[in-house]
Amino acid sequence: MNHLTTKEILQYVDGTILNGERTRVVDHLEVCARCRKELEFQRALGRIARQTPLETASTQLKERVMERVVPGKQHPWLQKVINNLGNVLAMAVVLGILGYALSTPTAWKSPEQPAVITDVLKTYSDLYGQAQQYLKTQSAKMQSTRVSTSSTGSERLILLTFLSLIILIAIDGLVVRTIMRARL
Amino acid sequence: MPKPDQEIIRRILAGEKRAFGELVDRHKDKAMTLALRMLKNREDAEEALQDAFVRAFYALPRFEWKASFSTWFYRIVYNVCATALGKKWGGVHISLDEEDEQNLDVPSEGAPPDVEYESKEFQLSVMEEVKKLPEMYAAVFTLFFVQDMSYEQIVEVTGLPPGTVKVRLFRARTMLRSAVAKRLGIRKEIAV
Repeated sequence: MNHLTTKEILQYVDGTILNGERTRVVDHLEVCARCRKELEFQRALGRIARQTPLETASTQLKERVMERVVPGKQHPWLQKVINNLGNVLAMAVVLGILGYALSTPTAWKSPEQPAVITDVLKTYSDLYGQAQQYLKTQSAKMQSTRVSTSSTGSERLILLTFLSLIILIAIDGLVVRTIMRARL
Repeated sequence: MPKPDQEIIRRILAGEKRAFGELVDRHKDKAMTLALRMLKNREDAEEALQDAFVRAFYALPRFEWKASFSTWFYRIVYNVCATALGKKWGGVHISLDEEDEQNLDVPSEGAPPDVEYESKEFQLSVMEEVKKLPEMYAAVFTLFFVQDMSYEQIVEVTGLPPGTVKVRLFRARTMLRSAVAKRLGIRKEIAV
């Protein structure tokens, strides 16, 4: 007995078989167990293929698409700050530690420290001392012309930290914008 | 009840650009499935999909209202992925246009293995083998089974001749059949 071809079976499964052929295929299926088994196998394959779960696009996809089609609406300045909070905090910690080390020399002056680190810190301290001296001189000059409040080391540190954060956010924003433009 | 695509398109063309996000939400997973089956790499598929959505947005004023958005959009996705595949393969365009429909008249190879069609093993085998289909067959297969498109719609999306679509779909199905039968047959032999 000649079995049905795969094409005939698939057309029967899809319901696209021509009417004239259909009767012959149905008649054959009634008497041929192997072709009936093949038909069920193909039906099952199609059913599972349709049920296969869809792939999921990443959650950032929509955001990235919208940024490209409606630029500037997706990242208000506050969102930029939030997005860069990690960088901001890391910089704040670094500046805080550095500021503490420089403003309190006793914190790092320890006889057990290796000579190289001590030398490096001493150099930083000297430079910081010179900078402080220079600022004091400039401050004295300014005080002679107008009334001003004396700024302490800690106030300067806060000011420097604040300025650094603003510069960091600005650079970050600039980089993000450049990347977005490049992607367009 | 979900809003039809065309209503969303009207809003976008009327100036409500942010409504495009709704179209992205509606189509991203089905389009991702097509892109991933074609490109076989999640990163490339995401990039192609992003590109396709942006192209679709800027092409919306030229959208033909007679057509369905999905057919129109999947044509863009298909073209972007086909271009990406062309680049990946060094610009070599693989054409199977010479494929003859007459070649489909072949008897089915061997009897299928005895399996429980409702078993997890069978379902998992089919799902995994579907993902392994070669790129050029996977696209047509996905459009037919996942997007539930007719031959005519697939011809419209891919721009391939009807005969080529039929041949590719047929080959994809016979490949899947062989792979699943082989996999389950081997497992049964091991079990014995």
